[in-house]
Amino acid sequence: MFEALHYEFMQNALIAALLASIACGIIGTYVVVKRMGYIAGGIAHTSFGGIGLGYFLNINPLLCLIPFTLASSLGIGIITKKTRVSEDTAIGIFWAMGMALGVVFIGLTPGYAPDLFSYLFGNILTVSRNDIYYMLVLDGLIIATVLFLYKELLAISFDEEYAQVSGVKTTLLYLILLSLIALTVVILVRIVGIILVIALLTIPAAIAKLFTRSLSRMMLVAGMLGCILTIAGLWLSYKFNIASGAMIILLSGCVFIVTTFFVKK
Amino acid sequence: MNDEIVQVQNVSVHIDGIAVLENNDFTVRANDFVGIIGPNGAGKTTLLKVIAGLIKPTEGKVTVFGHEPRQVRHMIGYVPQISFFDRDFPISVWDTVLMGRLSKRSLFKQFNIQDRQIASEALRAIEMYDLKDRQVGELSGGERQRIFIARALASQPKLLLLDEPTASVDQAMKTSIYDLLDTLKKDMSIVLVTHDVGVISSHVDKIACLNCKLHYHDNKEITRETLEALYHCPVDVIAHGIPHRVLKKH
Repeated sequence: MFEALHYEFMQNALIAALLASIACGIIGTYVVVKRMGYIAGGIAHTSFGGIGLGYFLNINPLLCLIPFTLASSLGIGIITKKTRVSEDTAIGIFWAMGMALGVVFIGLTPGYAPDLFSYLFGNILTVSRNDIYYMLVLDGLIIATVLFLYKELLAISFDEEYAQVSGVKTTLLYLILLSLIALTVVILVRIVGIILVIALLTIPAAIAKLFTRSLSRMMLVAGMLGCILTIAGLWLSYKFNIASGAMIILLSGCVFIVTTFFVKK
Repeated sequence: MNDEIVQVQNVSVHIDGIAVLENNDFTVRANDFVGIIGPNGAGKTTLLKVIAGLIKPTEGKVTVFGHEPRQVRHMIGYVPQISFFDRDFPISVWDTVLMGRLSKRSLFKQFNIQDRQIASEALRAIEMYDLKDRQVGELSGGERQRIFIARALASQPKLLLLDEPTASVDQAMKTSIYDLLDTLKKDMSIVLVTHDVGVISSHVDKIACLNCKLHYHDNKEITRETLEALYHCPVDVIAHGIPHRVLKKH
């Protein structure tokens, strides 16, 4: 693997793994403690519509993904908070509609859709310098938001009602949290793809939860675990010539199963 | 009269078209310790949430310290009923109590030294400062309840609202929670919701019996006889054909 580090694509892959781990450590922690796994999965899958739109408009799908994913996460959030539709129903509908839109857009796009597969299942080896700049900006946004709103986000995660009594605008904070999940999805799509995003959003944080007693510590541990798991997964995929996204997820899942069984808190 | 801390006037709350509270009038004065009792589903929690500003009444008017509850949130301490709790949630006792300062610090601001001081005082008041680094999930039910009281105290409230603070707490801990409230009532008004009729009698000044409609007993002197009398009255209200395990049939 060390000789491979001379290649730019390998350097990019390592930087991407690091940047993705920061996002999934921080936001994954909220997803796990606030039990938002299903909604995060919904946002991730809905984003396929954005990728399709990117192909259709012939612009960088990642660029198109950002507004599309943000809009759909806010859509899910507003429908679940403001109407009487139950959360899982709303998520299920958005989930399927987003995927369907993606299929329609790609169908309407003339010719063959290149690297569509890598958006679905991820390919960390195709991350470009440009992608890295996007990820850097998004990471910065996520870190800044969480730093500024840490006490409010902790309060709505732990005890939403108390946060509300304290005058915290809980719906707004919830929508902000969904937007952060949307941005994380965008970062992770290049690494593991839309379909597998949910694993990186939950597994490192779920393992970290077994060992930590504060939210900030959990974010730190989850971030480091994410880093180790993505790089180890990348190495294994390189060694055995297997798709990197799938390898990262399988490795993470195995580590999760083993630690859950052997760690008694 | 400005010693009227809470004024509930003609308040009704309908949830999904069903009346949960109907035409309730209710007043809490300065340094009152009021117990609201009633059967499950009587609307006790709803009434408390109306006072806390969590639920807007369908009809009627609520004022707390002469304002809408939402405007005086910084003066209200709220201890919610803990029905669901994730024992593995990574949060320490300290961070939980510090959360009580949330209403004093605006968005984007960090907690400061003053907040930390007040949080430690609140933890000392409930004699749990030594446990500040524990994870909340590792505490017993009673300890956790005290932590939530400390969190409310950290907001330095003038009105303390408690929803079933002694549910799933053993007898010794119940007594210690009531003793704590006894010492607090000289600094604030306290409204407590419970179905725990037995213990409440020796501590509260006033009892309100709620079953959709409120029956308020504004007694100043508490003697065993008046309490007996109070309990006989609510039996009719509470029973309404529903057997209540605490109250004798008569």
